Amino acid sequence: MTKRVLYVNPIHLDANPAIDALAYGLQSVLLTADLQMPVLFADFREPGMREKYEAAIEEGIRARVEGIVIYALNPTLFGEAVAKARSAGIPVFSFVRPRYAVTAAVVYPNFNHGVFMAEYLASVLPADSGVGVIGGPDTVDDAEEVAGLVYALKRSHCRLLNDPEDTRYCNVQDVSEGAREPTLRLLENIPQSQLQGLIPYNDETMLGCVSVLEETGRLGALKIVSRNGSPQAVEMVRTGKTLGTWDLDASGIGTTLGELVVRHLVGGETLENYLSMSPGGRMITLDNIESWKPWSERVDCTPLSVGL
Amino acid sequence: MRVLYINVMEYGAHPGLDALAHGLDHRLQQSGIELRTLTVDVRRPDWIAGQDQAIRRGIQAGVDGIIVYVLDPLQPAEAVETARQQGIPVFSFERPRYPVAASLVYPNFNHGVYLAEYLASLLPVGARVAIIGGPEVIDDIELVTGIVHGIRQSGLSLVNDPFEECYRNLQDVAAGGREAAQRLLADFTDLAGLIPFNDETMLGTLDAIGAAGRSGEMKMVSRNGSPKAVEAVRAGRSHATWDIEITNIGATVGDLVARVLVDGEDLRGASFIAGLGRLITPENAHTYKPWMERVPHAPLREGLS
Repeated sequence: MTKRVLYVNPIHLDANPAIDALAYGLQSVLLTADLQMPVLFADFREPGMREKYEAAIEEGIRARVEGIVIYALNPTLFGEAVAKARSAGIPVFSFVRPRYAVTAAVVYPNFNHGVFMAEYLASVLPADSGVGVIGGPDTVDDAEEVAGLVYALKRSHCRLLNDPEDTRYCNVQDVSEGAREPTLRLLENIPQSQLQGLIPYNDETMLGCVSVLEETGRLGALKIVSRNGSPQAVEMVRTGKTLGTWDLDASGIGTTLGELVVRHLVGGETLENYLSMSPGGRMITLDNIESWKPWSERVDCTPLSVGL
Repeated sequence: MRVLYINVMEYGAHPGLDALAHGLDHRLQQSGIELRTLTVDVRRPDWIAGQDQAIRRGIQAGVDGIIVYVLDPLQPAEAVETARQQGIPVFSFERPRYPVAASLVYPNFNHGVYLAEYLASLLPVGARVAIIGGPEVIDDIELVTGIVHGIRQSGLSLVNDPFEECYRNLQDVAAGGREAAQRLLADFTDLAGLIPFNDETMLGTLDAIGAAGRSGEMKMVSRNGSPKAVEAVRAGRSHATWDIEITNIGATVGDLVARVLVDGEDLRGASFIAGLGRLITPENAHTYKPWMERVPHAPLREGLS
C-alpha cells in the first residue's frame, strides 16, 4: 500500500505563489518515490489558526499517515501536536527549523538572501542614498531576512531610513494588499527627496508597494528589489518597474525537504533533528531574465490532493 | 593542474583553518588537481598587500585557479581582477563584492541563532548572558549578529555589546580569547551564560574563567566543533559546540573548482551555501568524529616552486 505523507499547508492556494511552488516541489519528489501527499490547509491569516493547524496534525495522526510535513511559522508553535505525532511513531518534517524536536527540517538562508538583496540594491545606488524597507510578519524566515537586509544596509554606503521591525512598516498579512498601509506610511513619513531605494521584503509585498507607487506617481523614482522570484515579480523586472527579485528557488525548497522525507521513509535512513539547507538562489535582473524559468516548469505541478 | 590557495593563517595557529585546507586539498586530489598554498597571516597589518602579492605570484607561476578566503568583501579586488583578466578563475570562501568564478557562503547567522537558542534551552527566561565577539571579518560578524538575534528572540538578557572592541577576540586565537574573557569577567558578575563566538575563543575563555575562580558559574556554547571543544563538552567544561563540518566546507569549494576546471562548467559567479552542520552536546558527543579522521591530513605544499 502506498505510504501517505500529510502536508499541512499554512496558506490557501493562490494566495502566495511561493508557498504554492514549495508544495508542488515537495509533492513532485514524493510522487516520484511513490509516496502520496494529501494536503490540509490551516491559513495563518485566519482566526484560530493555531488550533486549526494542530487539529490538522491530529487528523493526520488519527488517519495514521506515515509522515507529516509542517511549516514552522513560529519556532515554538505546534510543538505539542508534533510531539504527539512523534510519540505515535509518525516522523515529522518541517519547512523552517522549529525549537522542538522533529525528524528533519529544511532551513532557508534568509539572512544571506537579505544581505545579497541589500548589497545588490546598494551597488546600483549612489553613496548616501536613502532606502526604505517594508518588513513582513513575525515569522522565523521573514525576521531573519529582514535582519539580513538591515545588517547589509547598515554596512553599505546607503542609509536605512526606517525600522522594518516596527509593525507600522510591516506587511503582517503577507499578501499584496497588506503592503498598502505600510507603504503609504513610509511615503508619508520620509521626504521624497531622501528616498531612493525600496526593499519590500517579498514579492507579494512588492506588488502592493508598486500599486501604491503607481497611484502616487512615484514608481519611476525608486529603485526596488524584493525576494522570492515569483512569476509576477519577474514580470515587474521585465517591464522595468523593479530592478530585481531574489529567486529563492521555492520549488527547490520543496524538493529539498521532499528528499529528506524520501531518505527517511523510503531509504530507511535514521534522521533526528537533521538540518538541510535549501538552495541559495540568485538575483533575477534584466541581464539574466531570459534564463529564468517559471516554477511550474521546474517541477511537476500535479494538482494537490486535498483532504485525508 | 595546479591551484593556489591563499591561506590566511600560519599552519597550526587555527585548527579549523587547517582542517578547511585539508578538506579542500583532499577533494582537489580526487580530481587530479594539485593544491599549492601561500600563507599570508591576516593578523599582520599589511595582509592586504600580502594577499595581493601572493595572487600576483600565482599569476606569474601560471596556476590554473586561485582560491581566496574573503575577510573584507572589498579585498583583494584588484589582484583578483588581474587574475581573471589573465583567464585564471578565482574562487572564494565567503562572498566578496567583486566578481569571482564562484563563492561559498557559510550560514553563519543561522549558526549563531542556533547556538543562542540552545543556550536559552538550558537557562531560565531572562537569564543574564554575554557574548565574546570576533575579528572584523564577514563570517565572524554574521555569526555574532546571529547570536545576538537568537538571544533576543529567545528572551535571554544580553549584558554586553559583542561588537565593542574590548569584548572581542580580534586575533581569533585562544590567547586573544583569554584576554577578551578577562575583560568581560571583570566587567560582569553573575553570568548565567556565555557564548565565545568560536571554539578557539572558548578555550581561552576557559583559562580566564579558571583564573578568575568562576568555574561552573555559567553555561557556555561556542562554534566550530573542533576536537578540543568537543573534549571540553565531554569534560563538562562547556555545554555544546556547533560543528560546522569544516572539512566539508573545504571540500565544497574543491567541488566548485573541479566543476569549473575539470568539467568546464560556467558557474557564472554564483554563490553557494555551505551545509549547516550540527550541535555537539554531551548527549551526542560520542558520535563526533575528529577532523583528522574525516579527511587525510597530508602535509600541505607551501610555495609555488
